Amino acid sequence: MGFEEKVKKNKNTIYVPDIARITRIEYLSPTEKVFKIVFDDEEIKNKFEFKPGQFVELTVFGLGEAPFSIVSNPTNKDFFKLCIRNVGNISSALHRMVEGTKIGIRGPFGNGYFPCQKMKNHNVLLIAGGLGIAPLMSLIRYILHYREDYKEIMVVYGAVNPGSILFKNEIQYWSNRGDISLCLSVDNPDNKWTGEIGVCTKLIPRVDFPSNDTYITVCGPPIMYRYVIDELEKKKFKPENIYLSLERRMECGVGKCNHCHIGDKLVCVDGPVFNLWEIRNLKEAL
Amino acid sequence: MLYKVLDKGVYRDFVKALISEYEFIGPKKKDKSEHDFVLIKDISELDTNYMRTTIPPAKKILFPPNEQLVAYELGENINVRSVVESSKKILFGINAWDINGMNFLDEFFTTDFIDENYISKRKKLIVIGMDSEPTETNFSPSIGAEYAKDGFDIYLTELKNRYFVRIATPKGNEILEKYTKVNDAIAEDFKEYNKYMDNYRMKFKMSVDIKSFYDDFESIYDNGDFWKKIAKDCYSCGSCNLVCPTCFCFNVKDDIELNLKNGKKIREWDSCMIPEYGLVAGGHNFRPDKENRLKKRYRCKLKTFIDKFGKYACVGCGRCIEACLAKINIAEDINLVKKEVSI
Amino acid sequence: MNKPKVGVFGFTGCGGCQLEILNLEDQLLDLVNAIEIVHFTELVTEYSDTYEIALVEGSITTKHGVERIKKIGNIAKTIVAIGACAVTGGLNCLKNLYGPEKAKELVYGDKKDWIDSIEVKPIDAYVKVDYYARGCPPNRFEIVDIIRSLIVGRKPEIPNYPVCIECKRNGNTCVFELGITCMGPVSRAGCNSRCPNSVSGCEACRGVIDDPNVNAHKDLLSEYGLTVEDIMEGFNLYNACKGKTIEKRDK
Ligand code: SF4
Ligand code: SF4
Ligand code: FES
Repeated sequence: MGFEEKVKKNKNTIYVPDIARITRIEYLSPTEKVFKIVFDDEEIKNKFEFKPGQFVELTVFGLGEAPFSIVSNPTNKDFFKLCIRNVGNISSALHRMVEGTKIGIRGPFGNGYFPCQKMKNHNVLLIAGGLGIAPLMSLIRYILHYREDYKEIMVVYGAVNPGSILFKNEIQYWSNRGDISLCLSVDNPDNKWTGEIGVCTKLIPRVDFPSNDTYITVCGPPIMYRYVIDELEKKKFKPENIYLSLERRMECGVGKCNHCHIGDKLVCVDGPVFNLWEIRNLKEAL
Repeated sequence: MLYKVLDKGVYRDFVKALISEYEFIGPKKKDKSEHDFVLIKDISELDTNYMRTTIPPAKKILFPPNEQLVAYELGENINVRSVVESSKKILFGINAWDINGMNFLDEFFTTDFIDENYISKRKKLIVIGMDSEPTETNFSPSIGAEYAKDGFDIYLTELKNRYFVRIATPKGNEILEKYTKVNDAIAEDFKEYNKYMDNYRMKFKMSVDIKSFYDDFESIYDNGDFWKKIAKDCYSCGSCNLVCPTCFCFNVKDDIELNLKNGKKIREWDSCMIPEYGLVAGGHNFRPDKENRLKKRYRCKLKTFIDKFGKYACVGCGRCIEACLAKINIAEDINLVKKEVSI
Repeated sequence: MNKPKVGVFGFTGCGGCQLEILNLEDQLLDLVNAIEIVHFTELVTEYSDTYEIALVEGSITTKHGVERIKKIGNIAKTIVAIGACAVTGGLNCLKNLYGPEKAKELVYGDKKDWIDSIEVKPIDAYVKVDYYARGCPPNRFEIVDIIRSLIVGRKPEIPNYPVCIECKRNGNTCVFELGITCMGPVSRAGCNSRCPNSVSGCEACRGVIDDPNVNAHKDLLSEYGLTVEDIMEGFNLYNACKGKTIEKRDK
């Protein structure tokens, strides 16, 4: 029978989290915090490797589990970081937590991630809306780590207002570096704001990267995608070079509960990052 | 596959022996309209002459409606461990389409990641199949599921004075050798079996035209009026999912005791037809309309797994049709899609 | 973790919901360890005005009741309505079908003016209710779950799907198959499909789901020979106060 040879003996089933500690909590904005997480078990810590765009399932014992994408640089092996917005049961419990609290982690998950290897020797355009900057952070940090392997890098980032711009210090540091161009835009400026105003899609027509030599990554709220894609297609970027990170309800993270499905794909195992070619005919995706 | 015959005269003793030796799950009459697969202690309870079961037998055993996955204990250190229940059982009298439904789940729960909770029960399950009467809503021949070619250990087909026995595994052979006596099937037996199957297939009244559904579905996908009409009466009650032999959606819940120390994670059957299915933290619902959810169910049943496994996630058992109080009928809708696209 | 102070209050109803809490038996001990009960009409006589969580049973049917519930609303941080009477007005709402004056007359005859009786309303007509433990009687495990959720700091999960889901998880034969009618497809689950489990139709004691397909259900019930009046009676048994919303959706 077919199923038998596939069965291997694991110590734990796919549903058992490993225990980890929140070792630092950074305040980003009134609604977002960054959590630095370290596994208790040395062996698990050493085995844990992830690619930009992947996510973990985080358990708050007594409450439940939720998926969060990793924001830290994949080259850091001792810890990883999650940027969490206070919106649900789990995230608000996390926001009440103090450093040192123990949690459970499963993952990293996602066979679809940002192809940072393929992007080498090409231009990279990164487009983020709101909290969408979080999954891209890991990629940006990786690229900056190996900066000389890549051509031009540009980040287009739109937020609701200046106060809701995340990772301000790091963004400041990027603009000082000079080897990464930056377009910030807010919907509702305050009187100190000197940058762009309006949705970040407006900035895309100004991008002058050649269409055959550019990788694009997009992450943002569901409504943003359609507009961004329209603009990108006008510029004749290739669909197979446009990578989108999608969000759906997740329960298991391992392709079993089916909640995350979009058309014929599962976000947790086939994604969460898809290229536009893959999801073009998934009418539900965007 | 080995082909044998079992004399009707020794059949009862064979079954009795299995009942006394094993945890034996078989069909038992529940009420005037249904049977249920339950633990059988005495052969008088067993009634293999059944037609309807609400919950598919294999799913009920291998992927129960509520199942603990993890146990944990909070304190200075947090202890977590997996909880996997499994015990040796015989599943007796399951029919061909339900075996095919189980075969689907076998493949599903071992793809990408291996679900130990399912598969450890499956490994210990001995499956003895038998044909049952199809309901009027059964269209399994159109899907090719009225006949099981694997997934069982033994399959018994009732002929005039004997059973035609197909043995698919060494385990099945062992059991037969140990508890009864079978003879090799000869040309005469095959001939009668063949005639029986022809007759059996004639009993299925419903048929669907599914050949071109894979493409037709995409062509009609954006036709909002078509789907609105089909889904008009849907209650979003999820009955269709829960009774399906291949539906596997579940929620995971964290359940801590009032002492705030011991807790567990459990999974329970969910349904893609209820509004909460697509709801994420923060309140956005990715599939708020019932017609979209119905469309999604049809996609999952009839298209998604053609890409993944080359199979339908539907065996044509007709349970969802019978369970639906809004009379939404997947078989009619498949044919309707065909009609709509070809005019 | 701090033990939250909890008050249990009764209004017009049979008191059965409070008994339901006392029926917890083996969990009761853990419960009283996890919380501090400072007021419990059916259990203790002492009376306290400091509590964070109020568990409220019964519907509001008197002017005095209105004052009391408003006072609770001012003190408690979290209000949990327990049982059909508190949540939807429950059976008591049948009174409203006659109008309050007519009802008083029917019950108390010429002494009707002595009676403080107003239109029956669920408690959320007067105070903001945070969570609802629906049902008649409510599911005691759900009450525990709500309390536990409040202690660990999560939103209690109260199903908004129909009873059919639980009914199927329990592997029941649908009672319609047996010629019995059922409100399951439009009624809120959470009772573990108590009625269909014992082969009788659901009566929607936990209220209807947020988006019930009322038209489909009317069609279905009429196939079983029920008229629109019978059907409304089915809805009304526990939902007369909310009957208007059902009518509205119907259009
Ligand atoms: S299709 Fe029928 S069984 Fe399925 S959710 Fe809709 S009403 Fe319920
Ligand atoms: S008995 Fe009632 S609750 Fe159960 S499936 Fe039938 S209609 Fe739904
Ligand atoms: S989260 Fe369960 S299948 Fe993707």
